[in-house]
Parts: sequence; structure tokens; C-alpha cells
Amino acid sequence: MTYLFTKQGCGKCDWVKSKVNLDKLPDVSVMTLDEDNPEALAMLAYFGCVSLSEKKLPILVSGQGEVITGAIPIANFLSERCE
Amino acid sequence: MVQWWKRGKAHQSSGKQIMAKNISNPTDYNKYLKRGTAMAGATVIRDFREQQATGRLETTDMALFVRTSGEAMDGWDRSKIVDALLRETFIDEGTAEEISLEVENNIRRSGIKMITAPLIREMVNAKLLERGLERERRQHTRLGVPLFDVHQLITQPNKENANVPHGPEATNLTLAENIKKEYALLNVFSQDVGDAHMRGDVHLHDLGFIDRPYCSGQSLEYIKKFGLNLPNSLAMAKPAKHPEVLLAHMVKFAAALQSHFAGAIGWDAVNLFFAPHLRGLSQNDVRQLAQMLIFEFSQQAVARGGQAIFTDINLYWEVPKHFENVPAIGPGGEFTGLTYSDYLPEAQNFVWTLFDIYREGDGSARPFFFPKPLVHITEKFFKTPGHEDFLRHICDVAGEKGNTYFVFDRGETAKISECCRLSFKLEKSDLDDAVHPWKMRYSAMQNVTINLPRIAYEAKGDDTRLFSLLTERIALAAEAHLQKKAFIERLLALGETGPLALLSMDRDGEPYLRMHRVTYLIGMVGLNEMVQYHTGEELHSTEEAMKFGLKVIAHMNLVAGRLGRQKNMRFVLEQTPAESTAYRFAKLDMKMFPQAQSVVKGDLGREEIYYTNSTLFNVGSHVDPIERVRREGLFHPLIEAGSLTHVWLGETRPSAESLANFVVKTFRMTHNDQVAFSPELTTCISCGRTSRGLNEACPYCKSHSIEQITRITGYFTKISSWNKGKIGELKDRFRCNDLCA
Repeated sequence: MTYLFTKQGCGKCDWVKSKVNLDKLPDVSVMTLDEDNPEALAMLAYFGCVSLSEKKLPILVSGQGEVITGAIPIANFLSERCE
Repeated sequence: MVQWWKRGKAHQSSGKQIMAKNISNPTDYNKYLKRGTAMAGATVIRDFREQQATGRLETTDMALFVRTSGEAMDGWDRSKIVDALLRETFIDEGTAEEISLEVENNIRRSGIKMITAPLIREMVNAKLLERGLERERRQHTRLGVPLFDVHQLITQPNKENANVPHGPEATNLTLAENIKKEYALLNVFSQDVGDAHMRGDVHLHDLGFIDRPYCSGQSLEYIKKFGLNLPNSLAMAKPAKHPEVLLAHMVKFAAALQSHFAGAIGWDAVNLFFAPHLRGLSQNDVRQLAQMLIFEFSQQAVARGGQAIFTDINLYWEVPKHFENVPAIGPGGEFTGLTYSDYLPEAQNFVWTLFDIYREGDGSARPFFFPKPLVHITEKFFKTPGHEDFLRHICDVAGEKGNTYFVFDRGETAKISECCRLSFKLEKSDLDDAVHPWKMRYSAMQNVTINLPRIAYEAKGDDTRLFSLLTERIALAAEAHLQKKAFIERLLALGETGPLALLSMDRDGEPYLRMHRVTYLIGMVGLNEMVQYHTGEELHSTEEAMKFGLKVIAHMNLVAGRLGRQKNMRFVLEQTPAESTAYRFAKLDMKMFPQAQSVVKGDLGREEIYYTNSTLFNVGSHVDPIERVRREGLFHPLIEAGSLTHVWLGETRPSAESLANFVVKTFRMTHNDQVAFSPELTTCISCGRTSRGLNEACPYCKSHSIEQITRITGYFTKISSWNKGKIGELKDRFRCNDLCA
């Protein structure tokens, strides 16, 4: 499973979601970080990305555990998966 | 109008005169009390002489002697019952008279010749209960300790806190704590909060120190700049001109602070802030000062309750970025014209020398229990010349004596650490304050710990119920914090003539206790057992259990944050050290929830039972140490106010190089906040030598007169002072041998 961590009001997160048809990627779980979603924060902690998320969002953690930041690299990674 | 009521001449405890004020009847008195003046210590005393003169009051001629709490042997006087009821409760005079008559009749019928004031009070309380006057019964409660308990306290050691020795001062401390605990539960906290503590849903820490905050972090710069100028002090000392005087001020101030905080006293960047006073000193003098500093704090067992001051010193090899360009304060409180960056050589030499002393240990080569040296490992540490040698040096001490705590400040993070693992993470405004480093003082008001396994028992496997209960308990903890905050603020409002004068003193334009930077700690005990009961797996055993544990702590983090924003208070999570709480919760749950047997740890037969501390893994699980540090560290970014992973060394003695590699790996490859390595040692009382391991007899002289020593939660102490739960944990600890390679 691949996880895409995003946040409400995050322009880069919205941009990634607009560029990639996430409906085509059932193995990508989009996790929105907000105060009512402990599941998302827990998974972020599980992948050791809590501190990183304070500076950079979105964050993608691939099924192999690779952590990718930056809207363009994430969009590219996901687009390749769509193809 | 007859003057039925008069305000008393003096408040007995403070001795302060109170202006006379007449109140015409009980209703007025009740209104008077409800305006809040009762909390301010107003005393209303009936003027019996006046009433006797008007013939309204009769004094019995019972041939009965009453042993009063004022150490007197008084004759019987029923009016004293009436007096106390009217003074302390909202009861009307008629009921008070009735009760006093009933009590008098009961005593008369019993034929007793000698009675104590506390017994009379309990008889009165029974009458209040018979009338359903529960509120008045609570108001009229006498706080005290049974004779049997006092005898036990005087003759048996108290094992609730291993840092409390056994002696007359310690007994005084424990007795006072017991009274203040009762006072707190009756008079500071609401009944639902008090009951939750009594049941063991939550634990309100340091109830015996209800009239003070919990822990604090200090800056040596405060006394360097302002000298030792304390309220109520008999003498004022100007800023120190000599390093040994600065040390004396530090020790005195620490003792004063110990009297105003319940827990640890931490000091920031001690080696750096001492540095301007060390310029030009010979190495012998620096060594002497380092030795004095460590011995002064390790031997302060003559302070409060015979306790050593729980002292932490934060140390740096580099000059922390936020202090680089700060003007240095030197002898006499004067700016030296240089910045702290200019004092790096003195700061480095001092910290190196301090670890030389730690390496040697005390007169019996035992590790020093205090002050705890916390070395901050930062990105800049690795860029500062000489760091390899210094890391090897402090790792050598860690392997030999275990003293060193490795605090990891990654990225731009900066913090002041103290207590067993508490830390104050510095925010941007704090870093701005660094220009005036004497302002950098931080406190935690209180710690409230949540019993996590109990929530699992109550949820009965239902996820929704579990998180709902957890939310309720966090809200309860927040309520407890609000109540303690309100109480402390009332005391602080009394200013420099009040009981918290030291915390109110204003030497730099704001009170010493900066309430706007106070944090309110929410702790947890037994995450491992909660997850084990709810999912069937312990934290370390499966990824799913781990993820569930993280979800619990993430939930706590988010709810605490939300409540903090609502109440405008800083509610932050802390890994509770739980020296006695892990034992208390386990004991209570074993009584109230039979299912606890399936997850509670320790030896049930010997009642050496405990829950695993905070978010730690089962201490007995055979997890590779670096893997334990990595995986336990995944929780740490969610726990803002401090976390720690223990590496239990047992009798093994890893090389400095292997520990240094371990520390670097921990910094680079994990998110762990703090690591400590804990060897086990035995000191022989007969020959005074210290050996490796927990031995039954001294390997040198074969004496059985020994003291076994290791780390309990976050500090070293003698095992003989540990409570049963911790003894159970010690037996279960998995010792790592892999680090010896």
C-alpha cells in the first residue's frame, strides 16, 4: 500500500490531487491530516514522517517504504503508476 | 441588633490581623463566605463571652476532659462544637446547637472520662451524615493520619519515591504530603476529578505538593545577573564575582526552588554559562569546581525531606545556535563585551572535566545519582571540532557508570530537558528570548496520567468505545489542570507576601514563574497492556499492534491539542516516569478488573506487579537494542514534553566505541528523543568498593553488606528503596549483551 499524506488548505496537496486521477490507483491511500484523524497521524508517525510533515507536505510513502516529498516528484511517481 | 457574629481577631495560621466586621445572621455569613472570602482565610469566631452575658449560651459542667489539637487538656465545652460548625460550614445555628447537644448526650451516656478533639469531630460528622448534610460533612472534615500509619511511617521506609531516604525529615515530608493530598482532593479538585484519581482512572501526580507547580527549567543567567536576592531571605547577595560563589548561589537557589516545585530542577547550558567565570583559571581550579558542582548536588540530602534535589544539568559541546551571538555575562553580573561563542574553549574544557569526575564516581566509585548530565546531540555537535573525542569520552562514562543521557535535538529543534525525561521544546518566541537568557525559565504545572489498560477493559474490544473513553479521560485530565491552575493562581495573587513569594518575585519585569509559558502534562501508563488486551498482541510483537498503539497516542496528541486551543493552555503529552503509578494502577485494576490478570506484568504471587511505563515496549521482550530505540522512537514525535528509551546493560560493559556508534546511529537513523544506558552495580558497605552487576555479596571482600544500584525510571538509586512494582520490573528487564562487541 502507498500512502499520500495531505492536509486541508495545502495548495501543493490540492495540485497533486488535481494532476493525478487517484481513483485509478486503488492501492494508494490518501490520508488527510487534521485534528479528527488520528489514523492519519498514526500512520505518519509509523513511517517516521511527523517532523518532516511540519515543513513539507504532501508526503508520499511508497509500498517499499520510500519517502518522496515535493509536489512534482509525487505527481510524477503517481502518474507513472497510472500508466 | 444583637451582634451574633463577629469576624475573628486573627487568622491563626498566618497571624495576620483581620479588620473586625459584623455580620448580623447566618444567612449573611453564608453570603459572605460565598463571595469567596472563605478561601482567603477569613475566620469567623463567635463571641461566646458576649452571648454568655446575654444568657443565650450555657456551658456544661460535664466532668470531661478533652485532649485538643492545640496540645491542651480542656474541660468540656459544648459550644466549641457549635463554634466549629458555624465557622467551617454553611449550617444554621439551630442545627449546630442540636448536633452539639446530641453529641454531648452520646458522650455523657458513654461514661467516658477522656476524649480527643478528633473523635468529637468524627461524632459530629456522623450527625451531619445522619441529616444528609454531606457537603457540610466534607467542609467539617479533619485531615489527619491514623496512629498506626504514623508509627509505620516513622519506623518503615517510604517506597513511593526512591529519592526519599528514611529519616525524621523524610517522615515530616511524608506526613505533610499526606495531609496536603487529602486537602487537595477535598478542597482543590472537584469531586469527579478526585474520585477518578481515587478509583485509578487517572493519577494526579504530587498531590502532596498541591500548593506548588511540578517541575521547572532554569537559566543560570538569572542568578548571574541578579545575584541571590530572594524574598524572605535574611541576606541579599550581589551577582557572583568568583566561580565558586556562583556555584554556591546555584546550589542555594536550587534548594529554594526545590521548596517551590514538586519535582526536578533543571539548568540550561550549564557549562556554557559558567564559562565566562572560568577564563584564566588553571586546570586544577576548573577540576576543583567541577568536583564541587557534582558533589554539592549529589550530597544535598539535607534539603526538603532529606531528599537530594532532583537536579539536571543540560550540557553542550558546541555553542547552541540561539546563544552564539548573545552577550556573555561575566563576574559581578557585568557583560564582558564578548559573546558566548567566544567562550567555547572554556565551556568545552568544563564539560569535559565534569565527565572526568562522573567517570571516577563518588568516594566508593559509585555513580553519582545527581546532578544528571544531559548532553544535547545536535547537527552542530557533529560540525564542532573535537566532537569525536568528546563523544567517546561521554560514551565511556555511559558504559562505565551510566550517567550520560543523550538528548537528540534534530533539525532546528532546541529544548531544555530535566526530570526523568521531561523537556521544554523551545518555540520561536523562546529563541528570541535567548538574547536575554535569564528569561528562559520554563515550568510544568502538573502531570495527570491516564490509566490506559483500564480503558481497554471497559471498552470490551469495541474500538469506538475505547477512543470515546480515552477522549473522556483526557478531558478529565484537562479539568484537573484547570482546577490546579486556578488554585496556584490564587496563591500567586498574594504576591511577595504569599506562600509562593519566590515564584512571584519580579526582578526582570515579570514574575519568576512565567505563567504564559507553563505547560500542563498529560501522561500515559500501560500502552503496551492496553494494546495487548484490546488486540491480543503486545506492542513489540506485530506491526498491527504497533500501528494501533500509535493511533492511541496520536488520538491523545490531537485531543490534547484541541482542548489546549479551547482553554488557551498548553496541554502536552509526556511519557510519565510512573515510578509508583505503574504499580498503583496495576494493583487497583487487579482488584476491580479481574481480566487485568491476563496482561499485568510482574510476579503476581509476590504482588510485584506493574504496567509497562508509558509507551515503552515490554521490558522483558527480546528486542534488539537499536531496533527497540528505533521503534519506541516512532512514538516520540507525538509526545512533545519528553520521551526516553532505556538500554539495560546489566553487568556487561560495552566499549566506548560501540556506544558512540550506537548514539550516532540513533541520531541519524531514528526519531528517538533520548537514550540512556543503564549498567547494574553493587557497592560494598564494608570495603567501600564497587563491582559490576547486582551481586548478593561483594566479590572483593565477600561481605553481604552491600547496596545494589541501577536506574529506576530516569535516575540512579539504590534498589533497596524501590517499591514492589519496580522490583518486579527489574527482574523482568532484558539486558542487552550485543553492545559489547
